[in-house]
Amino acid sequence: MSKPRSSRATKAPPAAAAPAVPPAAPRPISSVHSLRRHLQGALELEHATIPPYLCALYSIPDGANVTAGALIRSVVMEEMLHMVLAANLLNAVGGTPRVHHRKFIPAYPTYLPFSDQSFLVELLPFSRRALDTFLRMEKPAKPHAKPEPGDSPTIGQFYEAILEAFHRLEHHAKKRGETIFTGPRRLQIAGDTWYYGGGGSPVAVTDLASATHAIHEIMDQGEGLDHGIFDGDDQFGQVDELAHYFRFNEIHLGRRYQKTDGPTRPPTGAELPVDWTASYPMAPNPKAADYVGQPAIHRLMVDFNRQYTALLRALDRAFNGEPSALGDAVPIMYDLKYRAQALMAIPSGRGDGTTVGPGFEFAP
Amino acid sequence: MDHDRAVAAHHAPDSPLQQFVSLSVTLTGFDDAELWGTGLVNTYYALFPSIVGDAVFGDFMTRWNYTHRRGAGDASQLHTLVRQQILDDPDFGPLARNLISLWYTGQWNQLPAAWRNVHGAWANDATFIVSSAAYSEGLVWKAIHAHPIAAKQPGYGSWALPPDGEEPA
Amino acid sequence: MSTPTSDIRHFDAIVVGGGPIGAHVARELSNAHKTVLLLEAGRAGGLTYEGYRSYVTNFHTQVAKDTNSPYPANASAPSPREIDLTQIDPGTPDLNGYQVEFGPQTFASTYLRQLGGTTLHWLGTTPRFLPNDFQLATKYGVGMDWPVTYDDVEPDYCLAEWSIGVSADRKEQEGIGIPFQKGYEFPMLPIPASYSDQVIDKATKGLTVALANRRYPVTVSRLPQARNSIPNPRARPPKPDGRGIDPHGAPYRPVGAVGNPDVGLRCEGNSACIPICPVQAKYSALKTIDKLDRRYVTLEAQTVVTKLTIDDNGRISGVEYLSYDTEGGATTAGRATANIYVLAGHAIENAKLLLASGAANGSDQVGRNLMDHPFSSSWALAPRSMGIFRGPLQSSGIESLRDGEFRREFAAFRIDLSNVGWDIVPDANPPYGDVSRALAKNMFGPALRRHLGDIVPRQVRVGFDLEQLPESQNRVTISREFKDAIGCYRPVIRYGLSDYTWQSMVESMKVSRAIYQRMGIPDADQHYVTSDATQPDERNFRARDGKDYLLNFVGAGHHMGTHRMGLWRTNSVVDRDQRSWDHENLYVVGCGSFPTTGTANPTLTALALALRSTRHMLSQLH
Ligand SMILES: Cc1cc2nc3c(=O)[nH]c(=O)nc-3n(C[C@H](O)[C@H](O)[C@H](O)COP(=O)(O)OP(=O)(O)OC[C@H]3O[C@@H](n4cnc5c(N)ncnc54)[C@H](O)[C@@H]3O)c2cc1C
Ligand code: SF4
Repeated sequence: MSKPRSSRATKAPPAAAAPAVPPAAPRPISSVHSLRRHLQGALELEHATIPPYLCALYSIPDGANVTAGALIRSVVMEEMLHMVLAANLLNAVGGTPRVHHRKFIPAYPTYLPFSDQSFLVELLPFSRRALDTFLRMEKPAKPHAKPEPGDSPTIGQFYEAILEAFHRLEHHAKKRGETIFTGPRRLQIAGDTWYYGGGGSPVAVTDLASATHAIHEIMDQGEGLDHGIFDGDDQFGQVDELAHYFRFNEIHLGRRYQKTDGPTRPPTGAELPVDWTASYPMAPNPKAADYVGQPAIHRLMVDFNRQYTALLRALDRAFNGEPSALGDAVPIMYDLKYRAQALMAIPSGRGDGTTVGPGFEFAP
Repeated sequence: MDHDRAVAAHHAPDSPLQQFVSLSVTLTGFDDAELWGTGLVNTYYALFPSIVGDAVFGDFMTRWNYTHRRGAGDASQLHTLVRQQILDDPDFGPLARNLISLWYTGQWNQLPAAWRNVHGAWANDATFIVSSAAYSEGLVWKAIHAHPIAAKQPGYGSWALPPDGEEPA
Repeated sequence: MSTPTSDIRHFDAIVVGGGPIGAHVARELSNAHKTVLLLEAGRAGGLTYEGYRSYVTNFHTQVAKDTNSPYPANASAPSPREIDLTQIDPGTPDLNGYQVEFGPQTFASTYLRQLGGTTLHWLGTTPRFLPNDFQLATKYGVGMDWPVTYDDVEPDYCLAEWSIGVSADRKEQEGIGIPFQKGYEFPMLPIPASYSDQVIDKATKGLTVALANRRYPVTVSRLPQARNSIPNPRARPPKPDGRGIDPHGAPYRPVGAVGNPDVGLRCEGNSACIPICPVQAKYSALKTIDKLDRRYVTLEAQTVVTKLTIDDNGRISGVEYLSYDTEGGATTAGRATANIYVLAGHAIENAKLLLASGAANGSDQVGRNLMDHPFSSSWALAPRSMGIFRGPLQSSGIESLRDGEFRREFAAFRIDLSNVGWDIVPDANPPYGDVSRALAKNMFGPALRRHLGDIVPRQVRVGFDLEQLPESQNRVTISREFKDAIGCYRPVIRYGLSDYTWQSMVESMKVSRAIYQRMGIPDADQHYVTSDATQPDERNFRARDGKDYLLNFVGAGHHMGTHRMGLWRTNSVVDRDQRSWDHENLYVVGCGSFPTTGTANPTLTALALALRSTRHMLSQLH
């Protein structure tokens, strides 16, 4: 994952769209307490990307844009894996992942948590505009950029800073005969028992080596391995997968990458047919409140939001000692998909050809 | 997608499409958001006249509009009128049942022989399932709180949970 | 050792049939670096993800959703279909469809001739046989003993379960009398019991029924199933020969869809296992075929084997086949040879092929002893929602009546609990039938919606897989009168049940009644037989209590017995290694080798036997 970020969280977001920005992080990461805050921030960041990706994915009607849809889906699966990894990291250092609360969900359009607020992220149907945003969200760091805990221009550097802090803080702790890995082992979600369906298996974080591994997994899938285009994930005989930015770039440019391609040049592989008109014309950034005047629609919007909130509740349980709750999340995920697709087929009533869509709002 | 036209029509109050939707709402017991949510309003609206012709379809809609106006504002009155004027009617009853069948199962049923004896046989009037989407969006599955067989899978272990409104076993 | 090449037409082995059994034989032989020609009569569809998905959408738009409805019909390799079945008039054969039926009862089971075989539409329930199932004659004085015992087969059961991926719980299976070798665990945790299973389980706690004057418990347990579940983190694979557990082996990794391995890693409750699992969470032979080592295996689809040729020494000297480009179109004749020949074309087709070749029939048993698990149902309307149409078609069963002294007098049964209500109840066709019936009553609007939401989720169906004894007049034959589009023989079937099974059907009703009573279902809402049903297999039976019962049943798709194995060449077609008594280089494998039926769905046992036989084949090829 690599998202531009900065600590200038004081810049006012647009009205009615207060992003769930955690309190500005002190720099550098000087304590375990601060590390935990950063890791909770990482969770929020990973999560904030999911609703926009899901909107694009669900807006594609059955049978259309098959490859583009599969690529977006694969990114979503990995973002979910990253959430699990971030929770593992946070639990490992004795923190408490919190995903079921109002502030956890950004109100779209939103700046990404920790971002330099150079662009807004919206809930959009599959479209060129959506893809442009995705590319900005996943833009890789420049090679050899330095770790930046506070105002790094990319999230790659943000994770570098977290990684650096893990090493430094654990090193100091060791000298005192202590460790920062004080979280109970049973909170770790690992293996393919509860997590499956692509993206890889989560690793338990119990020491510096596994923490490093988990952070690398997040960074490599997001921005590429050592700044190549592939994510270096060849476990389980999976073919090399492109890092997120490059997967989106394939859709954007309508062409696949091939092995010999590099990060600085466009892909040269097979054509990837994209039909930009084949998606439900969902009005951007839907909100239940927009439809109070149309009760039948409003009810479906609220139902969706309730289910979405139920999903976060299940994740919260999973991250706090009940890994099997990830299993409960699966039926909810499916249900959300069907509800979202139905919403996207309903005319919005604005008279502009748009349809309704899922709001992803907190509704306990 | 042919959305623009559909949406424009949707918002013309009392447009033919809107009338078709309101008839569908009355016959199915699902509200208009639920019907639009299937993505099939336009498909079925186009399908009907393509099978029985514009004139028969037009008469059907006229009968509905007349019934609808007479029953406006009184649900139980409307219900009675729909039964008398539409479902019990030898010409319109079979059409209404076919419309319900479309919405509930995605299947067009060949009209009964008695109807064909009067209105003639139409080339496209055979029993068939409209499309994979029509099958998957069949309202019967929602009515029975399930998912269509071989589509919209509910996910691992979902079947162990109590169904809507029941306690754990 | 042989060199891998695909040009020559001589192979170490020729395997006829690309179903689960043929695929496993081909895999074992090729893993030992033997060259294999795998010949498949049907088309090789389904090996791409998109191709497979096309069957799913095809299924959606079929009005008649029978077991073969997703798969394109193929006149060059036809398959039986339920929609072709009719009631048989005594004396007049039923010529509809592919199978020619002489009765007296309709043989109402189907199979599928396409790459992957019948596992494309099988249910995927995979219980083991009970030890006593192998010794029916010794234990109960009926039927016949198998030439192998449970203990002989146990290691191969373990291998088969790890090969196809079975989800089950060892303890629970031990509870119904199935022994396991030390340290063995199923590769995946059991598929969760459905809500309706849980309701029935709770209602029947402590229930017993009397069968032939003894009481037996009625105990609900989760079914072993070849569909993906959570991998058991503690389970380690069996060693390559099945004897002992490999402590260093890795836990099982579920196998996803062919061509899309991230899909289908768990059963997702599509409730469509028969006729097609949309996500391929259910095992099909395509998964095994997809992974065959193509350096050693030559797969030729659209190739119908028509005959085995026999040399003067009584050895099989080759196979003759017809291949085709278009369904029902012109064919090209061909021939290939091998050191050994393995028929794995399904119980009916194997028998046909042997008869057409005049092969392996010194005992006159080829095609005889055709058996199935006649499947009878009862159904009822529960007082509250059972939450049906969710989950696999079945997730639990009642296995406690699969064995007992009563087997001296009548058939044992395995009870399936339906997760899809009155699915196979005559004319019920839920939920579509419920819609039609409501529409016929002029229901509409909210009342219609409520009505369906009320009655359909309350449907309960209890099904009985009944045992059937080997009887020589139940048989498949061939006749020059009846051929298919490319001139191959159609199966000609004579089939009926004996009192051993009919009586059991009557007993099964007692069990149903006891269950329904416990569930608080009034008599009026319980259904056993329908006098107005036009079921093919209806029959009036005078039971031991002197009363007459109108009984009917359907097929389970478990064709068995047509080339049975035995200890003596005089009364069996193949020996304990499934090798033909008459031709030393011919093996005939699959459920057709079963001497008796037991009550377990047969494929797992057939796989175990096949794995066992491959060791014998390899010893021959050495
Ligand atoms: C509806 C249904 C549900 C079932 N459910 C279960 C269940 O839950 N559990 C269970 O254990 N069993 C079940 N079965 C039975 C199971 O499907 C079979 O036991 C199993 O598929 C048999 O495997 P096979 O390889 O012997 O034959 P098949 O799977 O039938 O494969 C045989 C293959 O050989 C090919 N072939 C045939 N003739 C020729 C020829 N002349 N030349 C070349 N190729 C040929 C065919 O095309 C086919 O591909 C079910 C069956 C049905 C019909
Ligand atoms: S229930 Fe569905 S997902 Fe599970 S095996 Fe059956 S068809 Fe496949």
